[in-house]
Amino acid sequence: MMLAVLSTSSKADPASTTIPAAPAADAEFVFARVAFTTNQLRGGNRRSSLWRTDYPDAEHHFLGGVRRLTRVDADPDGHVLTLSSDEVFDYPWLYAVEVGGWHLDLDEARRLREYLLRGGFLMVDDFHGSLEWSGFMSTLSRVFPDRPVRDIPDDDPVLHVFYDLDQRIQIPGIMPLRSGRTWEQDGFEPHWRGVYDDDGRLMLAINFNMDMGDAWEHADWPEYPEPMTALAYRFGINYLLYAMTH
Amino acid sequence: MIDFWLKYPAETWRDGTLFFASGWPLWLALALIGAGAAMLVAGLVRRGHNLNPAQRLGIGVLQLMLLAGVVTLLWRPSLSVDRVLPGSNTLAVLVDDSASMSYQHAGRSRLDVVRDLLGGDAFAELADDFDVELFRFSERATPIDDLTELAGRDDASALSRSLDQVLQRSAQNPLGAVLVLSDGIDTAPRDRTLGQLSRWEIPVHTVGLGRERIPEDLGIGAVKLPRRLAPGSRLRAQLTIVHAGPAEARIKVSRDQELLAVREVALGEGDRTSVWMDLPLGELGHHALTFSLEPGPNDSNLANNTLTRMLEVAEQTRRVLYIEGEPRWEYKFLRRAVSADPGLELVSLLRVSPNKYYRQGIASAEELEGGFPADAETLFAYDGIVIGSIEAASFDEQQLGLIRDFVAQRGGGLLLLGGRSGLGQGGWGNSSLAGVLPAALPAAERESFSRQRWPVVRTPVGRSSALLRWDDDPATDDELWDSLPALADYQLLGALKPAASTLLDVVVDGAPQPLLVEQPYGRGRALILATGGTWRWQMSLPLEDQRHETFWRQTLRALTSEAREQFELDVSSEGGELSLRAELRDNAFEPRSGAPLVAQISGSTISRVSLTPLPGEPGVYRGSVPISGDGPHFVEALTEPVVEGVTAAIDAPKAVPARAAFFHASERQERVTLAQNRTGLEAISAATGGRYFTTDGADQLGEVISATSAGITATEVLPVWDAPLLLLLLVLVKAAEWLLRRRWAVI
Repeated sequence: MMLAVLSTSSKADPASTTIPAAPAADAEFVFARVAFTTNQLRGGNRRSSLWRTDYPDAEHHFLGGVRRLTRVDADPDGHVLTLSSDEVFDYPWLYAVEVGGWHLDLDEARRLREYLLRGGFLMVDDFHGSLEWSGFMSTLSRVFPDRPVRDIPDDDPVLHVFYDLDQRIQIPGIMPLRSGRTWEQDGFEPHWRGVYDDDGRLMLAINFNMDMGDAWEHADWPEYPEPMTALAYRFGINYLLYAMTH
Repeated sequence: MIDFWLKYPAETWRDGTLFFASGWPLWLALALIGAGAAMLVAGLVRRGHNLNPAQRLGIGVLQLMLLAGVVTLLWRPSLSVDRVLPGSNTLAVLVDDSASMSYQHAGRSRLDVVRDLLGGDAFAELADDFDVELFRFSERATPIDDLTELAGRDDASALSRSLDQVLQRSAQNPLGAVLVLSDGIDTAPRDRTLGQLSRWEIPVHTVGLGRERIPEDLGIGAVKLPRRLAPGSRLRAQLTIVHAGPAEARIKVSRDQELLAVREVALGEGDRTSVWMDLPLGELGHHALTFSLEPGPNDSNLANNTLTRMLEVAEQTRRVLYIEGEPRWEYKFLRRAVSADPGLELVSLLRVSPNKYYRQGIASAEELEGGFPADAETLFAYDGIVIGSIEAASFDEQQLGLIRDFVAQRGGGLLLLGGRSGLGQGGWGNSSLAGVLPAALPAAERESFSRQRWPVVRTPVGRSSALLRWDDDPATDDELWDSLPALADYQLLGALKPAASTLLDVVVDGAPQPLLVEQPYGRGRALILATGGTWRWQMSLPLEDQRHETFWRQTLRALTSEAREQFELDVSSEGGELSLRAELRDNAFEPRSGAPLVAQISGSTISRVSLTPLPGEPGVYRGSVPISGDGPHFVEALTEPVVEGVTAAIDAPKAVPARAAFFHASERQERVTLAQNRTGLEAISAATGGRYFTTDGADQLGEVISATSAGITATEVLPVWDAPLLLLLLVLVKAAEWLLRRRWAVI
C-alpha cells in the first residue's frame, strides 16, 4: 500500500511519488486522481510514480475546458487520493492513468468495488497493447471477479449526454506521435469499454489503446494535433456529465 | 321572581306590546304632570323657607316622581300579547326515538325523562290550549298515539329533516308551535338549514335531554386517512379521540384478524385529542382497517370505541418535475434514489451549459422539448416540482405564476433545494414565488451557501412525522438518524413563516439551523431542503444501507401526496344515507360541468345514482342514495352521460373512473358521542323564535309555548298597573321623601 506523504504544493515535481495535499476545494466537482502502486508488470514498485503521468497539466487543462464549456462548478486544481482511505467516498468521480501497471491490494479492491456500486465513477486511461490489458484485467478481477468488461455501444448515453461522439478515433500519446504513430505496443485499435452495474449504469469507463491524458496535457503544444485534443475534451466532458447524471 | 314582581314571565314581556289602556290622550297626562310640577315648585318656594336650595331640589324631584308615577298608573299601562285560541291550534311534539335515547344514567334512560315530562303538569297546561299531536322521529317523523310506542332503538336521528317534515304540516293545520324533546344528536346530513326551518315562522321549542359532558365515555370521534395509498408507502392515520379530561387510552389497529399496531396515549385536558399512528400497509387492494379503543372504567358506550375505515392500496404513479441549474452530485443521486420506486416518475431538466438542457425520465421526445412548461396544462400534468440550484431569473413571471397556481390550486408540492444558485443566492427571496415558500431567504448578494459539512438532527416535529420515519421502533429510528454522515453543504435561510414547520435541523457550530421546512399553501404544500449535499449519505454509507433512498422516496411521495386528481369522488354516510360529491376538472385543472354523471355503489346490493352539477359550484357534482346495509361499500363514478345517446358536454380528461370506498356501521352513527348537543338544539330554537329548555326548566313550558304568534291566536290585554313592583316603587319614593325630611328635621 502506498504511504500517503503530504506535500505543500500541488504543482509538484512530476517524478515525485508523494501525494499533494488536498486542496480546500470550494467546488462541486473535484478531479480526483487515484495514486496506486504498480504490479509486477511495472516492477511491483510500492513508491511508483506511474499514477502521476501527465499530472498536473492534464487535469489543469481539462478542468479549464469543463469550466468554460459546461455549468459544472469545477475545482481548477484537482486532487490526488489513494483507495486505501474512505476519503475516496467524498469524490464521486475518479481518474486513473497507466492502469496497465496498477496494483490494488484486497482492501483497495474491495473499497473500489463498494465505491463504484454506491454510485461512484472511474475513468481509466493511457494503457496499450495486450500485455498491459492483461495487467489491467488482473487487478480489475480483484475488484469485479464476476462482472464482464463490455464495449460501450454507440447508443450508450455516455456518448451523447453532451456531445454526440459518433467518431471513434484513436487519441494518441505524445511519444508515439513524435514517431509518426498513433498506437503504442500492439494496441493498434482503440477501444472504449466499460463495466456496468445491475441497472445498466456505466461505472468504469476504460479508454484502451489511447491516451486522452496526453491530449489534455498537451492542449497548449503546437505539435499536438488540436482535433485530438478537442476530441479528448469531448470524451472527458461526456464522461463527467454522465457520471453526474447517471 | 319576574312572574311575581311584574305579574308575567319574561317571555310575555319580551313578546308583548306595552300600551296605555285608559284611552285618554297622552298629552293630558303630560299636562297634568306639568301642572303638578308647577304647583310643587310654587309650594316649595312659598313654604320651603326652612330648606336650603339643594334640599328643595331633592324634595321636589321625589315629589315629581311620585306624581308622574301616579298619573302613569291612572292611564292603565297594559301588555298586548297574542295567545293561542284554546282548541284552535295544534302543538306538534316530536320525541327523539333513536338509540341514544335509551342510554341510561343513574338508572334512567332519556326516554324515561321524556315520559315524566309529558306526563307532568306543565304539559297538561299545554293540552288545555293546544290540540297536541305526538310524533316520534329517528330517520323521519311518524305520528304516534301515545308514549308506549317509543322504543329508542333506531340507528339514526334526522332531527332537521324530521322537523322540516312536521313544519310542512302547517300548510294544512294551524300549527301554533313545535316542541322537540331530544338529546340533539343529529346523524343525518345537514340538508335542512336553519334558515329553511325558520321560513315557516313557527317557533320550535326544544328540551335538551342527557348530560352535556359524559366523563366516563372514551370514544373514537374520527379517523383521517389518505384517499389512496401507493404500495410500499407508510400509512399515517390521524385519530380523534373524544374524551372528557385526562385519561389513559390504548388504541389497537387491525386488519381482519391481524393486529397491525398498538399505541398507548395519555390524554390531557380538553375533550378531543389527535393521535397519529403509522401503519405498515403494502398489499394492493382494499383494506378494512378497524381502529379500537379499549374501554375505560365505567365506559358504558362501547359503540364509539370502534371505527372501521376503508383504504385502497393501489398502483399510482406520481410524476415529479425536477429542474436543475447545474450538473451536480445531488441531481445524480436523487435520481438514483427514486429510480426503483414504481410510484414515482422523476422527469428532470438539467442545464448542462448556458444554452443547453439535458432531459431525463421523459415519456416522449416532445416532453419538455421547449424547456420548463409555460402553460398550465403542461405544468399541471406533474404532481410535484423540485427546483434545484437555478436562479429565479431563469423563469419568466408567467412561469412563476404557474408554479404558484400549481401549489395553490392544483394541490401540487413544491420543493426548493439549496445550491450556489438556489434559494437566497438564486434570488428566490425576492421573486414573486417568495410568498409560497415556508421561509424568508437572505438577499442574493449574501453568501448563504457554503460547502461545509454539518450533521443533521430531527426536530420534535420531524420525529413525529411519517416523512422522516425510517423504523417503527423509536429508539432504532433515532439511532438511524443520529448515525447519518454529515451533509456536503448547507445554505442559510431567513426567518420562518408563521405556518412553517421545521422537520430537520443542521447543527452549525453547535447551534441548530433549519434544514427541512414545510408549510401548507393553498391546496398544496411548499418545502425547502437547504442543502444540495444529501448525496454524501449515499456515498458514505454501505451499499446495502437504504437511508438515502428512503429519505428521497418518502420526501417526494410526501411532496405529491396532496396533489389533486382531475376526477375525484368523496363519499360520506350519515343517517342511513350516502352522500356523494365528485369534482371534475380538465387538463388545466379548470372545473368542468356538463351532463349528470353516474355512480355505482356496490355493497350488499348494487345501486346506481345520478350525480348532478351543483349550481354555483362549477365542476362539482352531488348525489345521494340510501345505504343498503352495514359493511364495506365501493363506489365508482364515471364521466359518462346517464342518458344513452346524450353526449355530455364534458371535456373529460380521462376515461378513468373516480373510486371511493367506505364502511358503514349504523349503530356507531348514532353513538359517536352520547353527550347532549345543546348547541344544536339552542341554534334551532334561536333561529325559529323558540326557546331551549333544560329538563329542570321545563315547568315553564306551558306559559312560554302558549304565548305564540303562530297559528290561530287572539290578542289578550294584560293589565300591568297593579304589578307589585310598580306599587313598591311608589311607596319607596314617598318613603324616601319622608326619610329625608326627617333627617333634615323639616317635617
